[in-house]
Amino acid sequence: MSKGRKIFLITMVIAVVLMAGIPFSYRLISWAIVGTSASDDAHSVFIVITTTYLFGMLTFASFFMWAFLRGEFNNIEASKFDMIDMDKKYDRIEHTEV
Amino acid sequence: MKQQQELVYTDLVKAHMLMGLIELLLVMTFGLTYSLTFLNIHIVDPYMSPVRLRFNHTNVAAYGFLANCITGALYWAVPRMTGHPVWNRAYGWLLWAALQVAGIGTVISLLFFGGTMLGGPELSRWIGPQSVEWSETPFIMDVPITLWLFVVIPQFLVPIIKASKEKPLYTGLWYITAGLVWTPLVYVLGNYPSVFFYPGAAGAALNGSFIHDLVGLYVTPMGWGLMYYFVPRVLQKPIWSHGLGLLGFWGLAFFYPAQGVHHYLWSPIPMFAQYAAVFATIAIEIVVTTVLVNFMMTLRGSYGAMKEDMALRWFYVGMIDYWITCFQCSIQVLLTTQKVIHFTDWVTGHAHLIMFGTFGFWLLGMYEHIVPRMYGLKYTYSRPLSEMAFWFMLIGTEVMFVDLGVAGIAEGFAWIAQVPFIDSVNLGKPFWWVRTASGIFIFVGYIAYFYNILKTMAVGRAYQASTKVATA
Ligand code: HEM
Ligand code: HEM
Repeated sequence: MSKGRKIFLITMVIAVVLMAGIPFSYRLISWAIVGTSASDDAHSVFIVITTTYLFGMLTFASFFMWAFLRGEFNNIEASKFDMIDMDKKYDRIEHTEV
Repeated sequence: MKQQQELVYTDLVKAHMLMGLIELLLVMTFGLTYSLTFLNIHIVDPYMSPVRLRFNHTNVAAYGFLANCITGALYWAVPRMTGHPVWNRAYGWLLWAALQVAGIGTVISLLFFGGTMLGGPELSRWIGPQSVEWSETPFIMDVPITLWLFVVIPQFLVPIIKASKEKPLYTGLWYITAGLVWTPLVYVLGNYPSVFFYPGAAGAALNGSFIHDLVGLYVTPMGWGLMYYFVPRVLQKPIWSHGLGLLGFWGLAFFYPAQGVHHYLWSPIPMFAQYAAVFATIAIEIVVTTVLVNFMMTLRGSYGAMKEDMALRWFYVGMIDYWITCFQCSIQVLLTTQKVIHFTDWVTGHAHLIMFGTFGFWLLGMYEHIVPRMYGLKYTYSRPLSEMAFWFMLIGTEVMFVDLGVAGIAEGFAWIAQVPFIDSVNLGKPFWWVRTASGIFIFVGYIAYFYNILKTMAVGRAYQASTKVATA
């Protein structure tokens, strides 16, 4: 990747993260304030939904990082060819052709 | 290279498929009988109340038809995508038996136990239907179903892990892995906390998550995961963009779980939670569109195949239905629209188009493709029967969807106008007649489909026997 493209890409990523991140954090904080200061029912809804969602998302965010670091997305189009080639090979052996 | 018998355990594919297809027959019978009760025709009264028919209709659809047919298709597709057989064949039979016991036990309990029937109200909580939507499965069946969902994981995860050590995972396998892991968690979330620990708004919020996650984190990832295998296979070309496929997967993973509360908009659940759900629901429409674009681009240049190949037709019609429902939903989730359509037949129309018109159609298409090939054949027993099944079920489903959509809007506005409730019931009647008629269309089409599959199996067995004799 050329230097110019790299700079462009990094700037874009930062811009998107900031643009999406600031309002998201603002919403989350206001949500937390409303959720924890309102009635009992609102309080428990806040705790229940937020914790389940955040735990779920944390798991998936770590899963995503794991996949990224492992190089799952390096040659991103390769596995679609592998899959179809393998299937065709089994078809020939097992006489299950389309 | 492994031989067919070692790679794909076709006996397990067949066993799950047969039970799934039989249970679909039950689903439709319950649905039709239930739809008649709306017209004041109670053919099974007093033994089965309409509510019990509904419980059976929806629960058999989820745990009987979908669970069996999806598992059967996984037994075919996972080994083919990974190059490794599933974990253990005998274990597979044990899992099959356990699923059938849980399914049949649920039907018996939902029909005959609890309330004023067997076991009475005291034991209702444990052996009768539970009064939480979609969690009606009795407690004594919840436990084995939960266990089943956990123990089925290694059966399919073992080949996927083996494949992941060899090369990057294919999108279809990402979806299936996520579906396997999500489902038991979703089931636990929906069947215990809201029933036993959180009454009121918190319980409803959890139950909403369960309803949506059952369809969004079990049926949807399994369905799409299988589509990523079957469509390229039938078209004999790879998916258009694997990168876009992965984007769709991660989009689903991050946005879907936040949507649950959209089942209870305008309810006592705090508005901040409702706004979040509306936002996430609209966001998912973008993800859905990327997935659809990917599959449509894969079809480009091969449109003729839609005429020739019945399976492909089921797949793509199902995808169009999927897009229609999700588009419909991103409108139905707006708080203004919700004021009109919530609690009306509109939602039932949505549920049928997506559960049957998409996922049901896909599964029927998959077996239309798999069954002949399990016996070394290329086509099902009868093409005219296949065509008849397709058109009857398609027309029935689309008519039902439009009919219930219009009914929903009419009912919604009648309620807003505060006309006497009975007037809104009378308003619904013509629409309910059309629903029953379209249900009969679906039923007839399905009988043709099921007969065709059974005949294909009979012809296939004869063909296999004759080739054995010829080679002996
Ligand atoms: C992105 C796509 C989807 C969106 C935006 C969406 C949205 C919604 C909304 C807002 C409702 C509640 C309507 C109300 O009660 O007023 C609903 C209900 C429902 N949805 Fe979806 N949905 C989507 C996909 C699916 C899928 C994939 C399935 C099935 C596999 C499904 C099955 C159902 C069912 C069964 C109900 C009725 C639940 C009940 O019994 O109350 N939906 N959907
Ligand atoms: C013969 C065709 C069918 C007929 C006549 C039929 C009829 C009905 C009726 C009358 C309801 C109840 C609506 C209410 O409580 O107001 C219903 C709900 C439902 N049906 Fe069907 N059905 C049919 C096929 C199917 C199939 C094949 C599936 C799934 C694979 C399915 C899935 C559902 C679901 C998920 C609901 C709950 C929707 C909601 O809560 O809004 N149905 N059906």
